[in-house]
Amino acid sequence: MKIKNKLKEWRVRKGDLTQEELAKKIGVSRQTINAIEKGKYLPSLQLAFKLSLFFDVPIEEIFYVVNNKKRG
Amino acid sequence: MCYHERIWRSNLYITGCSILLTLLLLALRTPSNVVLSSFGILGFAVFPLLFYRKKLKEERDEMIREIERRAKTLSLRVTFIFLFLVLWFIFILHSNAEVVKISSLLLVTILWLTLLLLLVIQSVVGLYYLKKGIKSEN
Repeated sequence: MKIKNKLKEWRVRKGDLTQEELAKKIGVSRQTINAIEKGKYLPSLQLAFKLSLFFDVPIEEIFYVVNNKKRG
Repeated sequence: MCYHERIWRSNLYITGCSILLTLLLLALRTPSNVVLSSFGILGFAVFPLLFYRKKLKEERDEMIREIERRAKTLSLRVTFIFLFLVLWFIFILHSNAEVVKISSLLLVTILWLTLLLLLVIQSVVGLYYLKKGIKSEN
């Protein structure tokens, strides 16, 4: 199961925020925002909720599952 | 400059200082100077770094903490294996052929090299994880 995200898209929608600005508002480093956007880091549930609350959208609007492997 | 790059620089600082002072130890050659110089190394290289790191630690977030945790685990394993192998090698040489005599100077040097190895591996692994990416375990 692979989890992707639309964080960059939401960041741009929310007043064209920079990674640095978003990082400050959420309380993490710019590297973390960059790593999440590039799919290099899966955030904790707590951070995912923080992002969801910040953008005021459900979590699944930001994070979604792709490439479900068939079982059996 | 990101957190891990600053950690890398601070590790370069302590590595440089320690190598220079280890060379100084080797040049002095007397046990009492070895002990004194070791305290010198501690004061000169380690304590400023500890203050710097304490300041840096305030900037850590969940991803950086996760990277640090994994880098520490990996580097500790590698350095303990290195230390074990080196001491074992010296012990074998010493007991069989008496080629190498274990002096306090040699032991201090080995311990310092082990610490340096730990710092370097920790930094390299941290930067590697930052480039490659890291999957959280929650």
